[in-house]
Amino acid sequence: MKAFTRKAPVMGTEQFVRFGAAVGDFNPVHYDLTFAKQLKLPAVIGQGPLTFTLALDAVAAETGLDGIGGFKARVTAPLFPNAGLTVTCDGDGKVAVSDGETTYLTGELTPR
Amino acid sequence: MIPELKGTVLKTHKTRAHAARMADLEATLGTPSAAETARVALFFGVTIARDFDVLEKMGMVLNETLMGGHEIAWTRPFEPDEEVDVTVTLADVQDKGKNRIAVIESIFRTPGGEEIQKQYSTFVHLGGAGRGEAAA
Repeated sequence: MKAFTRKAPVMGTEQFVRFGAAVGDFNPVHYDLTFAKQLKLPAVIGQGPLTFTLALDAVAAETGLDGIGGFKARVTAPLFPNAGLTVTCDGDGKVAVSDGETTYLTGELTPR
Repeated sequence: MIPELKGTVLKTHKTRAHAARMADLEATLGTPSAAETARVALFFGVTIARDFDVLEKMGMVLNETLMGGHEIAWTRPFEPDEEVDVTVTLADVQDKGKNRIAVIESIFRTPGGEEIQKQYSTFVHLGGAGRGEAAA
């Protein structure tokens, strides 16, 4: 599998809302700061599926998805707005999303 | 008891891989590869949960629930606007400390029975342990 390192597009609160509308996730923790603070979060957070999608999109950009049959991932940290994310993939299909300090997702690709 | 729901089919449903949703997702990502990604990552467990009230059946509150993990295995991308039959099964549910953790299997097939995609979504209901036992 092709190894790569790729910057992901920056996702702010507006993108959290738009992503929520696209996939049907209307949890207020993704757009309502008061609600987020009630959960002891410092800011709204992005959807776990958004982090998943950013990782998969980086794979699509680097290799296309025709040779991929699956992606299994664990969300390891909440994603706050405007994080500068990098997606990495090693030669064994191990994928990670991080900002250099925090790892937000780890996963593994399954070749077709 | 909630654990006795393991393995049960929570919902079967007909839906559609809406082209408009694909376009929304593509625009949100805004990358050259987004159209290809949107044809694979169009549905998530949270979408299934919201549409079908599956979490409520387990005493879980969606607004207090986060995705802990997700797995997609696909045979092909969704075609824009194609009809899909979805079968949602509770693969696992357990209380861990103060939280309730549920794994939902979602299988997407054509009306003719061809499997397009299978997902496993792990939900964590913060502080949800022990809830909803009476409703089960």
